[in-house]
Amino acid sequence: MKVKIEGISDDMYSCLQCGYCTSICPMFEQLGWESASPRGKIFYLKQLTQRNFLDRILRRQIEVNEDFIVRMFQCTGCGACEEVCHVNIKLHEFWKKVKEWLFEEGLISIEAHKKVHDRIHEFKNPFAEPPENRGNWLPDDVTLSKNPEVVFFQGCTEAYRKQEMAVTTARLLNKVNLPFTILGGDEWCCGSICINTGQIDYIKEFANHNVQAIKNTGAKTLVVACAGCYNTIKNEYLKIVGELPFELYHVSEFLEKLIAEGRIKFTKPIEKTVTFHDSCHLGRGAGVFDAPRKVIESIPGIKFVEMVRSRELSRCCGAGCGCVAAFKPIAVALAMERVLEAQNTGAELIITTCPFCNLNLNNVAMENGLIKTMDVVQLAYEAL
Amino acid sequence: MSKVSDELYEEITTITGKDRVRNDSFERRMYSHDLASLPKLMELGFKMMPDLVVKPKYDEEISEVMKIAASEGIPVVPRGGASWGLGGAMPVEGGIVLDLTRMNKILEIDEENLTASVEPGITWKMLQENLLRRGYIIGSYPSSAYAATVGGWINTGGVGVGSYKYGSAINQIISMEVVLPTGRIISTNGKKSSNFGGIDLNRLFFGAEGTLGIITKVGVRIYPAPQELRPVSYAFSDLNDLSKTVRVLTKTDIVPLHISFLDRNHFKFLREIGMAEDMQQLGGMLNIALEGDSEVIDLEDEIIENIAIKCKGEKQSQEFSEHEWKERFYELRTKRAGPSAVLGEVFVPVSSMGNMISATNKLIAKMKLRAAITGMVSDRNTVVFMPYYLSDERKLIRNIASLSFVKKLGDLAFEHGGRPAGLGLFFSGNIKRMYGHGYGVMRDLKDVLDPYDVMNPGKTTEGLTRFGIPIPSFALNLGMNVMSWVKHLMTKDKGVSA
Ligand SMILES: Cc1cc2nc3c(=O)[nH]c(=O)nc-3n(C[C@H](O)[C@H](O)[C@H](O)COP(=O)(O)OP(=O)(O)OC[C@H]3O[C@@H](n4cnc5c(N)ncnc54)[C@H](O)[C@@H]3O)c2cc1C
Ligand code: SF4
Ligand code: SF4
Repeated sequence: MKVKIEGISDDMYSCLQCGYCTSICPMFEQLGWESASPRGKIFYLKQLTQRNFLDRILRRQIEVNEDFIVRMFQCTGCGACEEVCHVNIKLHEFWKKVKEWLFEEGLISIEAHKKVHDRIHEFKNPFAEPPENRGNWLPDDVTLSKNPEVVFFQGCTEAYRKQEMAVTTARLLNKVNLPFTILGGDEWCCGSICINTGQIDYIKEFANHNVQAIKNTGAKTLVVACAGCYNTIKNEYLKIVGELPFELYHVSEFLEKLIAEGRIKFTKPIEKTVTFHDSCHLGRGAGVFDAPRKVIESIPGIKFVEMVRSRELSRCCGAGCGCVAAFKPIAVALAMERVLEAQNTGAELIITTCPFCNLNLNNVAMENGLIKTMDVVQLAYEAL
Repeated sequence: MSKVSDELYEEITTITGKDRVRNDSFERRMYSHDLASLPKLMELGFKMMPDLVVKPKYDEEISEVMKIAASEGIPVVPRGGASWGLGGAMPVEGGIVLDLTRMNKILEIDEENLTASVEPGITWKMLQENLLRRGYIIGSYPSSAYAATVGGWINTGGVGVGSYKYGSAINQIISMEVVLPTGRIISTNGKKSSNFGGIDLNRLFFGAEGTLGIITKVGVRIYPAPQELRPVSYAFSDLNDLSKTVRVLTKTDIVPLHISFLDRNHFKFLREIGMAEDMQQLGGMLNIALEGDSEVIDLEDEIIENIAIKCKGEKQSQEFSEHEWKERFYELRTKRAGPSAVLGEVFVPVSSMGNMISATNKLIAKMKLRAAITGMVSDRNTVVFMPYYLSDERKLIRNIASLSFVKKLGDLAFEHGGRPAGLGLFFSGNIKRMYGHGYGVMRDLKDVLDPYDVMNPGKTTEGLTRFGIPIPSFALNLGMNVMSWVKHLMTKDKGVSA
């Protein structure tokens, strides 16, 4: 009768119920009910794990009901709650454990999440696009190397929805004469969205496949375009495959390295004011805050301004953890908040490091005539 | 039985719209508590679940809800961040919880008159951040500023960070708009300047713990942001030397922004969770924040250093002091080492600081607790003690037995010329002891302002009369003593040094 979720008891009892997390949670901001706040969710989980005969006597209805399940998935996985937590609870992991438990119990009721999970299993991408077309974005003018130093992992979004970004990175790598290749159909979805929605059944297989495919190329370096893929490979694959058999860079880190080594020299000034949106995966998730900023600031002519919420306290774009798929209006509202925040800095462009953030923010910006997004690679390429 | 019938539910949804009212048990359960973690058995005596949760956006909505509540005799409980731990925002007889967190806007910043007009549900942190961006600050705020709302802190009569220089919550207020328990909307001052003479209505609602009315708008004082804020920290091997430093400091002309202290055990617990260096010799840490023009601060810094060194204090690095200042919001970081913690809060006169520390330490030893003492100097006259003890509520008996600590700490405060901070539900039994005949006046005021007894009933001034017997006082005095005795018979807590 008691609910038992492995590995969360100490955290749950440590929670002070102070509400610091509530004040920063984007989901709570949009939904406004205590049940949608991290604090409220922990309170209820504790009630569930404490269930006993007294609940019946006192007529306390504490149950794993639909409301509860939906709330558990109304989370963008942004990790802001963890950043401010009074008692250092690793909340990002905490939420994952709870979702995994719901998955194991067969309690995932969000159709959109199930659908994404099944599609990824079948098509190796969440868009149900043919897996063999994954490398079709590659234009004729780009040459791949047979003895690559670098594998470029462009991820599902750049492969099927934001091809122009992948193209830019590929051209840039060619331009600096870095022998590289892509995995094409051999690159499978990193599995981030499944991990973040608790649906972890085939993740091991996917992780092992991807790591092996990269290894097979003989390249010693992996450059990842998407902040979500990068964070997954860095933190989740590590748990599955142990030490990674390659050096891992997010594309912004790789650019930073190339600039530092003098292999990239910017020649065309860009006379624009820009701001930067920290992706939750790259920033709070993987701890990369400075690399993209350094790249932006090394471009001549650029005026860089920070948003009110930046770095560790950055605001989520609203897209993460299957939120766009399952709770579109919330994702849109959150993107709107972020674009407005960017607009208020006086910037003309929002620079991003994640195609998914880029997409979600840009959709809202276009619809409302607000400032647009641009990936850091695209910005750098313009200045070459 | 729900106090809110289907018809009333419908009526209330016509005031706010359906999307801001919830009556399902899942959501209502979320509003059945505040910071304190209470055993289920409490529900035998109290109806902690509200029958309805309403999230108003405007004072008129609150006024309409209050009118219905008054005519139907339904309790209404205002709730801010629910970060207070004395049960203030928790229903005890069901009824309606008014969640005020959606009223969180800054309505105006008047840079000429140095005031800002804000809604009650904005957090102090949010307010401070917004002001800072314009080059202004708020004087003082609770150390729970991330979650604590403007209305909540005013209602608990709070002191906090910055109180030494800028005073308590009352000193931050110029005027307020309040919805009375009958639904009438009043203004306490209505001007942008201070109110001199006449009865000060601001004071009436300050510290009323949500029992006299609902604050719906607040005019706060703002100040130009200072040139510099410089935290300094001193380590003492003996807490008596630390209190001596404080006593000398309070007699100088220097008015630091904030003075706080933490004892050896706090750092020991921090070490347990991997957040502090080994500080074997430490008795206690004194943290002082100086604020103002850099040249003046230089001077103050020097004078304080002389005093502290004379009292055997050791100045810590700037980096350490900065870290301590950042951690001012995280007084209970150490809770993880419990993982449960119970917090007490009492005031004593500055002259009793040393004796109170010794007495508290004796109590901790006698009750064999894993406890630490933290606190702040809230003004030249007053020290606020916030000792806490760590336990594990999963081991129920031991945990309940230790609860008597809070009651005994209150007794110690009375003995040392002070008192526990706040009444709420759990300490309402103290009111007579605290205010003597003044209590009668408070009761009368309550009866006049809240003739239908619907405004957060069962708390603050009402703890003595509900059901004819003083429940909280009864629980505290008898129950807690028994518990203390049980605790005494039990073996000492893991990790307590003999
Ligand atoms: C880590 C930590 C540190 C803390 N530090 C401090 C500190 O430095 N100083 C301090 O004083 N306290 C402190 N507290 C206690 C608490 O956070 C404060 O009392 C805080 O101000 C309460 O605000 P709240 O919005 O959470 O109020 P709630 O807990 O929601 O409510 C408190 C009381 O006010 C009433 N109330 C709330 N809003 C209104 C309104 N608009 N109109 C009428 N009544 C209302 C409620 O009914 C209740 O009785 C601390 C708590 C924690 C967890
Ligand atoms: S991860 Fe983000 S959305 Fe999820 S509970 Fe934490 S703050 Fe809220
Ligand atoms: S910030 Fe941490 S301790 Fe506070 S309520 Fe949220 S999860 Fe609990």
